[in-house]
Amino acid sequence: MKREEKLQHTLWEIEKKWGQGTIHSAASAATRRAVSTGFDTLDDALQSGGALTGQITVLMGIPTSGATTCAYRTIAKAQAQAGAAAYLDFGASFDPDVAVRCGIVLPHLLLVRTEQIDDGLQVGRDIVSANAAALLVVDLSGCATALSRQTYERLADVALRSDCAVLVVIDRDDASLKSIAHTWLTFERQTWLKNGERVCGCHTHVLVKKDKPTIKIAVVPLDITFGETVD
Amino acid sequence: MSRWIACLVIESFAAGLMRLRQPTLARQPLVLVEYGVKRAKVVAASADALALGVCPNLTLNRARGLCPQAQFVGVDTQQDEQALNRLLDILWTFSNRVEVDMTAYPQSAVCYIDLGSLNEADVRHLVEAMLYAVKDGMRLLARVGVAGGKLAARLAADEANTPTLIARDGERAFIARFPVESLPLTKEANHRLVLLGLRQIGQFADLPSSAVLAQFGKRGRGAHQFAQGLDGRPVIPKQMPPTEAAVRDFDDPLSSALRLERIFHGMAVELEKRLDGRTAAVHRLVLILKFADETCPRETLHLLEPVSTAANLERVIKRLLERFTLTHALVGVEVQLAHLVTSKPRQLELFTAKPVRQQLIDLTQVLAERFQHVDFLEGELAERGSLALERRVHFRSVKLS
Amino acid sequence: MTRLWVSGVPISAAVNAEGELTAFRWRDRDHVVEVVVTRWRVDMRWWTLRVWRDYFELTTHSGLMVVVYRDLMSDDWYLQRLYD
Repeated sequence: MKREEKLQHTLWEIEKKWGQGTIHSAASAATRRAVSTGFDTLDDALQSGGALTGQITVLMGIPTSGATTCAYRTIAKAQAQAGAAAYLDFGASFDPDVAVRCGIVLPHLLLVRTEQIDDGLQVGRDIVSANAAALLVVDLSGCATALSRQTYERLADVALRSDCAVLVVIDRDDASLKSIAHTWLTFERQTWLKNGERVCGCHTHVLVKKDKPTIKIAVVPLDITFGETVD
Repeated sequence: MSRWIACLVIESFAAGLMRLRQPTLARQPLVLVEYGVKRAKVVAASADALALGVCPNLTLNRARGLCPQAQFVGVDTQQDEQALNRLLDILWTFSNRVEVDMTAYPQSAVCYIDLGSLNEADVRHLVEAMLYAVKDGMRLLARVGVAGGKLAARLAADEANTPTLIARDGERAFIARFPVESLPLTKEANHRLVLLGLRQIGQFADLPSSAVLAQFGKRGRGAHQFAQGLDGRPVIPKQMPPTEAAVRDFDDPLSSALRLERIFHGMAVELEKRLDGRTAAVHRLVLILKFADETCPRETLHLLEPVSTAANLERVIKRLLERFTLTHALVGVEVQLAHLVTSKPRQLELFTAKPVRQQLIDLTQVLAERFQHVDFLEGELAERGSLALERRVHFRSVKLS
Repeated sequence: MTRLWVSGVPISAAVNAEGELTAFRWRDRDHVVEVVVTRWRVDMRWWTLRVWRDYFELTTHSGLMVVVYRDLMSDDWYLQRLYD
């Protein structure tokens, strides 16, 4: 038997005895799942297939750019894949009326609201470290207070040891967060999408930066419709 | 908790699909025609053509007379069937039990989905998610009606405010105002009802059962029960198409049992991935061996309990292999999976499998005690369609023990 | 999708001579109205706590799409929904 065949046979014997998935290649992050963003082209551009568990993915965009839509659709996908999600709603602006149209299952989304950001983030860290949710969304849009690098580090540290994906939604650049986040998505609205004369969404470009958010690796055009929100 | 049946309707299904494929057809009424038969006839039409009197089974000449400004296009049966399968793939993630009303197809896509026993709030959330998934996957708008019986669900699907949910004890009152033509009666029976001055289902429901049986027979009695809100017809599920197969061809004829075991292991892993992608499990496996003497015997195994994991697939393949006598070297093997079923209706599982959600609720209990200034909430829908936006939503504290 | 402020976020608004909204200030920034997509009026619960508002769904030159309303009882303006 050739050497490679011998190796393959040995690996196969080990897996046969101990079960599939016993052996992981050191080069691959085989234990990390990806939570789809709800946009196939964006998932493809991320190469991992979505927001990876154990890491922080940032959705940054000034309104109206589609970042919140992406967050809602990611929640819906996380729920469909694995069950429960939690949302730190610091801006008290979560919209259930529209969330269900994204596919979000409201009873399976825990909303956390508080004016004490530190308490809220501690709750988030506890949820992540307990693996009680498949996805934690930290909504910092509109928050006047800039968080410290240490705060983000604590969140990233807890996420790394968990099976939870962490999504941070923010409406401005944040150097501290940028140095911690694994993936940074910047949403920039290009034009309005119209249905006849009526604006019904926006055409957005998403700049995808992975691992080190200093190197642009992809620009993904997305058409984001706002759904039937007003009767 | 009551048992619920959802009826999902996509009106002008075939016409809508054609317009998606050819957007220039959106400007005028559209009529889809089956050509190449003795008399060309209408198969489906857009809503604007229907409004002018065009309907399925009309002759082409008649349709042209009614709607001369329409675009008349040959129906694309294959594409429409593929679209119907796509729709079923979407609905199968919500329930194992999905029935297509083929009498309405392809003019409309009408599907009945058995949602099992759920509480009302969960039903609403589920059908909202279903509507979104259909819109996202098909790019066509659907409406949904939910009730305890098929008739009420179908009629509720025609209501403007979708989704419409009819409570069990409200079914009879809801369907009462609809015309008797909505009941599953023969044309002749319908005509006789109209002659008797009975135009609405409610009027028919009020008739004594004995009189209905005498006048309309057993079928009429069945329809009479439906009219009274007693529709116990089950959803009869459509099977998923058996399309999965894995094939291996060998450059050198194979005679090593160990190598064959490894190959089957690899095929089982591949098939598990494909089944997982469809959230499917399989009831029937076929193993085909291709021998060097050009014979291709096959063995089939029907399973009472469907399987979907690589380990189980491999086990079944081995059982099939034991039935063969390996007289020659092998040049190829094929494993076919037939009679696929949905292994877990993902969406429905969210509402019936508590463990995932329960863990979060249990943790919330602990966190709520520690953090007094933090609110743990769930969003709810309130006055749907209210013009004052805040009335559409409600936030309530998570129920903690 | 959107963000919804149930109580509405108070904004300061500029109106023209016809009383039409031309701009508003939110998060320390002025947003000039580009086009009003839809408008509707609400007048409900007059027997208890009257809700009497003019709603505007509009886009701004700064790239927002929002729903604002004018409370016709108090003449105050609020931002209620932000599309994002």
